[in-house]
Amino acid sequence: MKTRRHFLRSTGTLIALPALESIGFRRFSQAGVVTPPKRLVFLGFGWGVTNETWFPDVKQTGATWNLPEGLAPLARHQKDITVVQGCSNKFANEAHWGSTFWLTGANRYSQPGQSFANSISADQVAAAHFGRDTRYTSIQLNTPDVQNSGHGPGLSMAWDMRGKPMAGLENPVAAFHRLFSNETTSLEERQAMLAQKRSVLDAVLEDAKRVQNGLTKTDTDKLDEYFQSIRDIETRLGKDEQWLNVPKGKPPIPEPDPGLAGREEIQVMYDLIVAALQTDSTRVLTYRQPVGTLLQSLGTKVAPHDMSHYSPGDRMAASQKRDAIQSELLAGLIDKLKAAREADGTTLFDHIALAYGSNIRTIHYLDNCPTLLTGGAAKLKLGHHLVLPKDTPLCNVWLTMLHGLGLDPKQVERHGDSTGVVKELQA
Amino acid sequence: MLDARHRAFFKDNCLSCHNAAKQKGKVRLDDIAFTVDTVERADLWQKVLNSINSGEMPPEDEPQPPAGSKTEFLDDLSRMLVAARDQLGDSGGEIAMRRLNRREYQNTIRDLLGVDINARELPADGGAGTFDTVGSSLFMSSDQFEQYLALGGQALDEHFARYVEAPPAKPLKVRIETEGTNQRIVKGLQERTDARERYLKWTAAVEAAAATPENALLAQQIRSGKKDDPKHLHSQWRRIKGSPSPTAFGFTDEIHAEQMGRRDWEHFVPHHRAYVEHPLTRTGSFLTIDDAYVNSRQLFQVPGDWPPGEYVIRVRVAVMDGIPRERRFVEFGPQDPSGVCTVSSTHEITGTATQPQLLEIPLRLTDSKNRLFMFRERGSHESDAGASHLFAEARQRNGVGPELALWIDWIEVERAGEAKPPVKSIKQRREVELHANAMVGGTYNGYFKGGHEEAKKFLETRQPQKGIADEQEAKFRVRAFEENGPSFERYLNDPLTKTGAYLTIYNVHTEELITLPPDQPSGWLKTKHEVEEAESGEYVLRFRIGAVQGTPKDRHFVELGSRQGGPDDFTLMQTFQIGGTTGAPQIIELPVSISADGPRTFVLREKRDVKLDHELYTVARKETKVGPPSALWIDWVEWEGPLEGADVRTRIPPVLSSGEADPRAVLERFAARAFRGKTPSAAYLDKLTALHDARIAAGDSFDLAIREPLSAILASPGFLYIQEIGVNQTKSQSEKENISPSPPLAFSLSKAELSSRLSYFLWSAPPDAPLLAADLTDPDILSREVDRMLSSPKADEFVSGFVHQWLHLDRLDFFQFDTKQFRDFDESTKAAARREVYETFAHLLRNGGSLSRLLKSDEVHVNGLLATYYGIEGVSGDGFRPVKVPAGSPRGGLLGMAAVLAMGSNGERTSPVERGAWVLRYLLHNPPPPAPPNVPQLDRLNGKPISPRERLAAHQEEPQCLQCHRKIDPIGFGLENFNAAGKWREVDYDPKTKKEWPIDPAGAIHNGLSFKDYFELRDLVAAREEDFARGFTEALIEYALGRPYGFTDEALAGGIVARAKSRDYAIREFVMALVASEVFGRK
Repeated sequence: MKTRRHFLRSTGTLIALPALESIGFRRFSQAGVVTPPKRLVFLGFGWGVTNETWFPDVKQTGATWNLPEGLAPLARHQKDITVVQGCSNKFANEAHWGSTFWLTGANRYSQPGQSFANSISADQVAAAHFGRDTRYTSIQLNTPDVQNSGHGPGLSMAWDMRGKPMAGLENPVAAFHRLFSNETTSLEERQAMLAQKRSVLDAVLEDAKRVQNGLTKTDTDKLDEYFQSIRDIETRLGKDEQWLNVPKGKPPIPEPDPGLAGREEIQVMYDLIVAALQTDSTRVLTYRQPVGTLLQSLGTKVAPHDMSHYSPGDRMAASQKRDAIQSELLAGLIDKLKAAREADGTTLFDHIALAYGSNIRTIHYLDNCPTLLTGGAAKLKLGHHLVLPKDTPLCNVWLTMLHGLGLDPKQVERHGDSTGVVKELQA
Repeated sequence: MLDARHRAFFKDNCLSCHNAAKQKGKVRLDDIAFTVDTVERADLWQKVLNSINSGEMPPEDEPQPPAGSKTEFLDDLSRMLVAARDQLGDSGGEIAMRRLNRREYQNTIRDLLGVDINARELPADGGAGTFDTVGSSLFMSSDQFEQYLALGGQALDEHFARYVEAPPAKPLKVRIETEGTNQRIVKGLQERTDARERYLKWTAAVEAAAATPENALLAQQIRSGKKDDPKHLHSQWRRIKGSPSPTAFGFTDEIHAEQMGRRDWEHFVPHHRAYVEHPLTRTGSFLTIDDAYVNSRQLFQVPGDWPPGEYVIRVRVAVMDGIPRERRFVEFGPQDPSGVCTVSSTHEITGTATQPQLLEIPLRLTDSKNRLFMFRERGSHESDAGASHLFAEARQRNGVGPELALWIDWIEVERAGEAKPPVKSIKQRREVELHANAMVGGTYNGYFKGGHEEAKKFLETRQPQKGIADEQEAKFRVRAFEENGPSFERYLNDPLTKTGAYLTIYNVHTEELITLPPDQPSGWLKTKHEVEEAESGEYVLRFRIGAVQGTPKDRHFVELGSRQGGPDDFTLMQTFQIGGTTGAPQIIELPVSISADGPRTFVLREKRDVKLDHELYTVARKETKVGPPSALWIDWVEWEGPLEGADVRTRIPPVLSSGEADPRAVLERFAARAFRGKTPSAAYLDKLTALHDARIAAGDSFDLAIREPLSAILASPGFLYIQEIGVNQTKSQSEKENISPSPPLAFSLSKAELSSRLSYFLWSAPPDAPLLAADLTDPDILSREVDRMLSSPKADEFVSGFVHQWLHLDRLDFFQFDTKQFRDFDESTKAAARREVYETFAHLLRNGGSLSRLLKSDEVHVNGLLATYYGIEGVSGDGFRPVKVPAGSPRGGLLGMAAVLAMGSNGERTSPVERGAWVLRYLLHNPPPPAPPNVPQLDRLNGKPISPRERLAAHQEEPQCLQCHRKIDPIGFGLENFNAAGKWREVDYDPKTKKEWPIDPAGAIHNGLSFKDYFELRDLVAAREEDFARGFTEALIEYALGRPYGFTDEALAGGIVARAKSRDYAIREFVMALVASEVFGRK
């Protein structure tokens, strides 16, 4: 690691050059007619859905099925969405953790000596391939309302290749600035800041060396987390350096107002997702959506956890209202994806794979995770209602998407606890 | 190890399909061992459990096992898996090195820097079902590292602002001698003179050509055409043969030549010449008026690399004798790159040529790159015409131009005096009626009464009125006035609103604010704050308040909360019981810490659930035409600070003392403190010093540059991790290479490590100096130190941190209580109920009390609010204190505490299952296995009017449910005399169906004794004090050592319980026994 750091420091400008050329080349070639890149988006929420009114009738499968009440706002897109039933993460055992294992399918007890472990999330598997040519390898959107939204441990939907949580952007304003604000400082100043950052890392590593001396095996493993954190930052700085000279994309939308919450927050975040993709700032996004503030913004006084334990009455009504509004927001996002044109005349919708759902079905049930798929990039059968055998690994769906997006099945043989791809889902 | 008797069950029911030959569903069970020692095997057994639990196995078409043996099998299997999980999730008794958790991080920063930071920005710890001290669950990520760096930086900024005297900055000063400007003017005059000479040469040549005979006739014609004007002749030079072109003389054409050579010369040059020849332009410059093209603006540049901050401009300036008053003013301001000037100040000049004056103008430099400033004479810059007029008038008068009026000798810019004046403590009181009446009166007269009048006008005339666009709006406003007007009138007519303000419910005046500048109480009226912005520091908030006589006592509580967002934001800080009256009010005060980005607005309101306001208001209005009468009245509010004094935090040594300038010494001292007794390496200090040097080279002052390496220290492992390597600081190479999974070396902790372990156990904070100095291997000293630590307020962190997690009080926040049903179980009561648990534990801990008193006691620890809730007479005020409960009271002990009972509910109904499981888990030390996933809720019963007992009878229908619920449910039913919010009740009532059921608390503890009611149940539980002590001990070990309790700890736990038992289970003895144990002093 030391050698790598020294390499970066001593040859910073040298490595920047070829990277910039390749960016320039890509831009140039994009001007000609080239297939637009593929994108992957995951939208997740906690506290499940209303069992009775969100799922289509299991007797109506295939291409002919009636939209249930909870999905009714998606009617105009019915031919372009597929609902999959029967999937779950078999290791999931915490009903209040709606997102922790949603994209990972991990067994939290998989590592002896640890009462919590996770593994890489599906979005990050894709990001390792799709993230090379964009400014951001992936973007994680988060909500300030994590506490009340039933997501469980984690900092966003994304978990890195070692199963560590990845930070998300807390609110629309932060996301907007990350994507579109150009630095006001000069190139030299930014270079100096990067150098300074590296010196800070260098100093703390010096202390880590002291601490390392005399540790037991377990403690050394623990300290390795620290070393790995520093290594990750260095990798990030390396990428920052490559893009130092390239101004950020011009924002297709104005800066959001601060303090948006609930429904408005989701709406603006969806706009930002479209904007991020249109400007090719990143090709992989996840969004851990608010549920608590969404309920508040709908004027309901039921607390989110109470809502998930619904029985007929206020709580069930709140749960259903929540389902409907979320579907309405999703329908709006699909509208925008269909309206956004790519250079070759196709639409953004044609080049995206999007999954929407939760690790929890309803109340405390962790089976039949609500799963809705859309977008043309992963070669999925759209407009269908699939009822898979009970307890089909949800990761089979993610694997099907990853393969559909062009990831080499030989390289990405499985994901989480997957047992194979879902053939019925492939177009 | 699963009992061998279950082999038969297994053989009969499973192996016919899941054997070596068939392996149905790819599951083979014939070779599975009856012990669980690997995760894989545990996984397989878990599947067995799940599939039998869910009824999936054996399949419906196969013979079903007898219910009894199935229940027994599931019972044992789930118990084995609970134990296996503990064991497999345990790192074999080793204490993993860990980082500070969020609470410890916050406390450590506070001890080190004397500032509170918002550690909530860090990701939450634990959440994996263990204590937040358990190292294996405390992770680190790159994002978190960045957060530590940023938070450390914020904390340091706050520390510097509060404790470090700003060092004298490097002086920055520059002086511009203005006579330099005159060179430009001299040069300008030379150019004009040159143009004049060329003009004269050219015109002479034209005239000479005109004088030749061949042009005589033509010249005659030209001259006579324009009255013999020579200018005309020059302009016609093209017609004159032999006449030279003006371009040969450096002009573009004859018009240019005429302008430069004659007009400008005549118009400006006398004035120019007067300027240049004036003796004072040898030592300074004059400001001329805008039309004169000489020196209409005296510009000067402030160096671009000077840091933003406070500066002063000094200018030596004079006005000439005989200049009229209106020409004695200079204007000062910035000039932007396009030449636009902004006047920021205007000054009258009184100095004279013989005695110039020194004018000082303060200047705040910002980050802006534009550092160009100007001085100019006032009066000629507003319009071109005005300036021309001034010039023409003067020229007519004296033939030269406006008199030179304002003279500048030099201009100087210097960084303002750096010594920050010591922060003065300010006390600002506000009589609340001023704002309240403006607001209430304004709303009433403007919106309600005014709106009503406009609306009536609309209805009469059908003409749109101000704010009333249509009939709907008009009718609405009429109704709004009729409904709300009387409540406003009552408020405004009450004599007490002349001297104070009432707190009302729903509208009129629902809250009073204490605001520190720059915050304002409202948009209605501005408070004149004594300072623009309150410095961060320790403050005290005060208010004078009284309860309205005749209103119910349970309304005599005021909530004080902070606000940092919209008008609905309210974070409860404390609830106060009001004993004073409107006739004899009381003064209440609360210390608060004010930081740069923390809240500055504090809200007072009557304690209640505001969600019910509208309903309460409507009910009262229907009955009495007005809203509910106010129960609280406030005379004034006040804030004071920042305070110096007895507060612990003011004893924090500053990171930097005044005048100190050696970065390495500062860094070494701070790193040693931050590392809690470990020594930073020289190479590390070198790199830190280099960080400082780089900032200095980039132009930072010392006081800024040093913060970069300081914040790096706060993100270094030496600070973030609790490192334990023992007395022998390093190990030999052979030991390092020993990576076999054999038990790790159990070495003794070093002195500093032991004091750290002790202080993070009992304080969740770093050791103080006496603790670091104490020889904790001496049992007497250890005992004395523990007592000292427990009596310190810092041990409150142990009480709340440990008790909260041990008893899983987080469940209290899972559900929102239906305040319609449980009107007085609002946020304040909930907070007091939680406090009761802490206060009771803390009292027992500090006063040699027995742990058994948590099971049953004749004493409760309550404040006035909670006593009111429990219906205990004679307790008022906000402090918690021990109160004897009458015989026969259900209170006394955890089972009678509102917090515990409320956790066993979903906010609407009681949950006997949750309560029963909680008692088994935490009081009887007989934890039931966690509910299996995907066990169906009893949906089919939802919404049907059946009693909870009937509802739960369904649990007994299936053997897989029965095995746990036969233990859980009876205990839960024994507590049914408490409603969902922990109040005593005789009947169970469902407000939805309006059905009533009698309560039947009788039952039996599974395989144990029976009880006929709650009181007998409590006695049975209290008799199990040894089991309780055992569970408590295991939790304490886990919390203190930072690793899951393991089988290897059996002996330790047994020893602790035995010692404590011999001393009546005094809580202190558990702590003492643990810290004195060999394990506590070992890695």
